[in-house]
Amino acid sequence: MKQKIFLFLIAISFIVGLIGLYRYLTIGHSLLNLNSAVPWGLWVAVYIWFVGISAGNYFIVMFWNIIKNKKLSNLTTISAILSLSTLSAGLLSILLDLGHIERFYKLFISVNFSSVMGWMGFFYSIFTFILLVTLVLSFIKKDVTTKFYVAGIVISSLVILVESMLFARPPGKHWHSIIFPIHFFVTSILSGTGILMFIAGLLKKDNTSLISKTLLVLLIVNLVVEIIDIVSMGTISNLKIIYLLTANLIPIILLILNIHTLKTFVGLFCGIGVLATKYDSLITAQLKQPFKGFENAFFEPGLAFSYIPSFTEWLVTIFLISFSVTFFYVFYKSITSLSSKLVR
Amino acid sequence: MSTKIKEDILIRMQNDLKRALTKPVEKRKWAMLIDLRKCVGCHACTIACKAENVLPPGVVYRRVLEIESGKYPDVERHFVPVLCNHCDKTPCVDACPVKATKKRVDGIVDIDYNHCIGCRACLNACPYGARTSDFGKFYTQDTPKIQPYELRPAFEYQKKWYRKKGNSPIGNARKCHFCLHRIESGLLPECVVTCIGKATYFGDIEDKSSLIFEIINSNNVKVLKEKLKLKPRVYYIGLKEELL
Repeated sequence: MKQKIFLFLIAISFIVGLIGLYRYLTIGHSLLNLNSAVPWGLWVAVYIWFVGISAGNYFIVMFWNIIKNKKLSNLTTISAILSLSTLSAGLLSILLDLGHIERFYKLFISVNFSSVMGWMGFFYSIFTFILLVTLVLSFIKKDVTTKFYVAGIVISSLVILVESMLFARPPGKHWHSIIFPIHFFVTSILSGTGILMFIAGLLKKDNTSLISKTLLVLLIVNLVVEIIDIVSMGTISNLKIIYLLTANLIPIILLILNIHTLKTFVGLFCGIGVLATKYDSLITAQLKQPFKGFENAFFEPGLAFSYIPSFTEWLVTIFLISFSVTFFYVFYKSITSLSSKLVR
Repeated sequence: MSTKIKEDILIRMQNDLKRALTKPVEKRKWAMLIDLRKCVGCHACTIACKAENVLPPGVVYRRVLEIESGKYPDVERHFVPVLCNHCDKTPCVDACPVKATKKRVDGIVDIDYNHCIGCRACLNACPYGARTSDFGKFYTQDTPKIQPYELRPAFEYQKKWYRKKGNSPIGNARKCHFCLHRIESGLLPECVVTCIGKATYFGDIEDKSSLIFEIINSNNVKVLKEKLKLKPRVYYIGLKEELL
């Protein structure tokens, strides 16, 4: 029954999201609330969030594999599927954000290696390859050497760090600080671990208490990084306050109290909460004016230093999330049924 | 009795321009100079640029900052036009993942509209906020008919650009190109000829007999955000960076 409700909700989200996607593809960027002051909006936040979950959960599972914690390392298959599904949704998100989607192939044939974005196509390709290899190896239950896990850790770390450099590099932006890559790294692993704990809880795996210990450590580290970030910026937004209270402090308390029934949802909350902090970091930095009086130097639609995502942006975000969940569900079900057939 | 009539600076710059065009392109080094003492803050340059390049809502190549300083009764207003600085060290060129934007040999930073994927990385890379993105909007889009003045072509980079859905420059990053299409036709940039205070100078700074060379070398000129060391090609006279 629960599964039917879940499938129904996903189907509804998918259809609603598809309506938004259709409108966007037929009408174009004018439906978005992006402007020249804030050219990167919700979809870019969703993209970095998805890629963070993808690389973050894989990083932590590879780490567990290295320390040979069998209870946790048996999540390798789920982790690889989760990484593939979120990476696909993240890349789809950034693809839709391009002004000329039809020219995306130029990222591979006309690469500018002085651009961090130019490197990303290659890192994502290598990461996808590693994920597929992991999936195959865990499916055929072949013993894997520690070197492979180390390679997995290195690649997933690079994916997170290279992506953070995209933001940390431009001069004159708040991102242009050493704390941004660290913040990016911690939140990515946190969101990956949170979503992994949620899935493990849903699938009734017996390792949620071990994952929750990792999540607790990550939440505390994240809280420290967030405080340093706030101090370095000198301001704090309302969204950040809500995030810190609901997706950081309350989960810490719940995990310390060790309420078993709530653990699954604590994971989900931590995972989704990271979207809020990534969105906040992304938008706040863009709202900084390059010069005093720049905002009022020439005023017209499309130049305002403010941003609230449009209805279409939300609809397409719903589509991307439901796409990721569907991808995971279909892939996981196919793998498990194929595996049981092979055993038979 | 003979009276020497002082040559108009626009005619002088026009002649400088024609002389520069006789040189090979790699020998020209275009630069702009804005004398803030002469700027009256009329915004004519902004509007002229908008009209010349058929710029849609949200796209602007040249803005004029209006800054007030001091305390009553000793107050001042400062006007600072800001545009693409055509830096020699170009964060925007470095940020472009597909080499769609590049520094030309004559110093102009251009954008290949047919190559740009519209990722807008260059917008966030520019510390001067000089780049804007064409999101496909029209001023008259919510009226019964989009007016013809918005549908006429722009001639940027010496090509005809019609703004239609899916076609460049819609979806592209856009910025000042020193009116390259005008320069190549022997005309000064539109903002230069429109400036009512004749505060904007343009020319080849490699040409020692040009007006811009003469003024840059006889005045204390400054550039915006000098600390970034990007070597901009837009110079200012009377710039008070501490006010910005």
